[in-house]
Amino acid sequence: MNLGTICTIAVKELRDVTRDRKTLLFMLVFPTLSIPVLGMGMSRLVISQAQARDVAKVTVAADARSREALLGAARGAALSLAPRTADALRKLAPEAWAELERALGALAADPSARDRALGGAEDLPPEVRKAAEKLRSALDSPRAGLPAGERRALQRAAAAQKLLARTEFSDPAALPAAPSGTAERLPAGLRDDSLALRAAAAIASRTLHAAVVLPPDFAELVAAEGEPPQVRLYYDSTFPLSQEASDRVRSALDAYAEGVVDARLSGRSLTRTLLKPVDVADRNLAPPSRQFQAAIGGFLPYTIILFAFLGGLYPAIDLGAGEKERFTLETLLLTPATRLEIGAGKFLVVFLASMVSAVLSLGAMAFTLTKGILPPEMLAAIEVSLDARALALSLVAVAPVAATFAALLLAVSVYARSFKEAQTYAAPLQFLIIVPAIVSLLPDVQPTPVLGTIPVLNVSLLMREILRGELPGTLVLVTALSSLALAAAALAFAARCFSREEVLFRA
Amino acid sequence: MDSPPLVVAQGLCKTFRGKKRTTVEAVREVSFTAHAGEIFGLLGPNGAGKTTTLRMLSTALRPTAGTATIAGHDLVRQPAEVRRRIGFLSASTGLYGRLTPREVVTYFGRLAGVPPGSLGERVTELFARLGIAGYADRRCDSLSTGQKQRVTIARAVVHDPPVVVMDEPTAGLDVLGARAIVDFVAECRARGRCVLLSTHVMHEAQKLCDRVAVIHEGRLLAEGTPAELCARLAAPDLEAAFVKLVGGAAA
Repeated sequence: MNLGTICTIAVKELRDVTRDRKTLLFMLVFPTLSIPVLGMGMSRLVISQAQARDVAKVTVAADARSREALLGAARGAALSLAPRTADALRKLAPEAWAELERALGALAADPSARDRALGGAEDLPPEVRKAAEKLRSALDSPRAGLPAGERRALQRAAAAQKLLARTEFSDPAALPAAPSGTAERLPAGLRDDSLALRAAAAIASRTLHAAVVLPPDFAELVAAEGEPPQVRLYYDSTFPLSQEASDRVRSALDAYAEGVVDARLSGRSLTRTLLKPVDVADRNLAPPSRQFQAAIGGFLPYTIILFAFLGGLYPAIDLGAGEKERFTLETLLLTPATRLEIGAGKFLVVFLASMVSAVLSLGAMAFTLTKGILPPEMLAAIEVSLDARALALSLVAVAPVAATFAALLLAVSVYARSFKEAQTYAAPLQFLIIVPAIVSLLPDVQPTPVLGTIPVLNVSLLMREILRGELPGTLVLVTALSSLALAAAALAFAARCFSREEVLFRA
Repeated sequence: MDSPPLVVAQGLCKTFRGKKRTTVEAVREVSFTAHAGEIFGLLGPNGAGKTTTLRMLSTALRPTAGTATIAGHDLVRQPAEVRRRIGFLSASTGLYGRLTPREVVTYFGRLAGVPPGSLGERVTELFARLGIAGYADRRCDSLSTGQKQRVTIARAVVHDPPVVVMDEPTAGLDVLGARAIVDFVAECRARGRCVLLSTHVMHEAQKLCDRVAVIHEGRLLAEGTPAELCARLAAPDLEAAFVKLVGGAAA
């Protein structure tokens, strides 16, 4: 082995490969751009969709009596804050309480105004809403010591407010007749329901989002405490805004129902605890940063491993099968350079391409995640996991995998008769590496020494642990040993392919 | 012949494993000697074993039995020494399309062990001689077939080898391309090199070769100067002698 010869070959191959646009595209441009473009695009889309849904105006078809009953129920829910809650608040956050009283001024005497403020009504002065917000957050904190059911009263009230604020009602009688063929597409039980037909057509044409029918004697039926009045709610869950409209109507009615339950219970001198014999209090000890890392930590290794493979793919095919296809291999083999030197020189270039691609994808990912449009608490979590040490360790961990890929791809490429044949062999190889890499995405898979012996999977898991801020000794050792052994075996295989005349001169 | 023998082949055999566990004896006991300043032709129909013989002599393939020496070096035991002393050229050898002629020839010069100090000078001199200087720094992709042919020649002899091995060098070339090869072969002889070439174009062999060997079905049937072969077989020219030899063997 002559290092000078290996260098001569590596330098020439590097020059050759970097003059190829396709290689540059796969090695440099693809890993650098695909993650930011896809990542930012997708997260922006998801977030904007969620936000749009939250503030979207929706239209619900309801006849005059249904509308009145529904709005009455919603208002009732907003006003249903139990006096006990108010007492608890006064004790819990006296300053915030005083602030709210001050902001309310003359309205403070009216308990319903205070309750509406706490329920999140939007038609109140800003200082009142600010003070109410402060009180609500005090109530939300576990230290408030309120039973979970009562704590949620405020959230229910807010939902009812939302229904009142951003929902328009239309007259179901004004809905156009459904075009023929609508009935066939509806579930069997609804085909004879004329409102269902017209609502389905209107939702499909995006002029309506839901329809609701309350019985004319809704309030009386509730007051009678007999059979509950049946409310029919029509929507199409495949249209996000229709789902949203349905959610709003339902949460307003649920909030109302909760309030009614409270009233019925207190009418009988009973408390809610009667309905809830057990109260489980969640105490998730994982800091938010770690919860988020558990998700992103699995995605990162997968992406880096994939790009390590893709980066080496094209150069490897070019340097092996490409030489055969261009009839340059024989002359190269007839130089005094040994087969091992030729193989080593080519391996170095493929390995370099693979690593460059991995580094770029990691950098691009770090950039996307930190400079992206993610919420601040996510950013904080990512910055913790993407510190320089973790990134450097990840690259060290990916190096033996990249070496294995480089050697395997080169071996396959030398074995193949042509470019096309090499690509055919590389496709199942790609599948074989992607599947173990995906395993790190599954949060349940714990790094055990046995898994540490499975190629690709072990490095994928190890990188996940590193990004979580851990460095489990046994896993590091087993992974390092097994991936180095695999890389060495792959290299030996590639070198063997370079020395076998029946492989080199397959015609 | 008074010049020193540069290529001495002794009982070269090559057996390939064929499909379904059959074996193919591509070359059987081929022996010959070629000297400095001589053009030695291997003649034979397609599939006779010419390419396999030349690949063994250039160390691309390892002989199953027998051996040969190139300029005194054994090709089985000292393949690297042998490779330093041969230049290999065939009509099908390609160039690295994304590199320039200068880069290609320099690369092969370096691999062949030309001292870095004199390599640049050697390349420049070679390019001037072969008329490559005008396109030395353009990508090989953009060159014409004739231009590529010249670069291929330069690449084969950049290390000034005593033995040049050419496998069907004129196959597929037009008249001008073939002419360039013929001129190059003659020049090699004039410079005292030994040229080993294979062909099935008989008039080319008759014109060019000092001595020829006829190979058929892996065996060397006859060896001598073209005139000797014609006389021995009472044939008017080399082509007639070849047909008599090969036809007789087939019958």
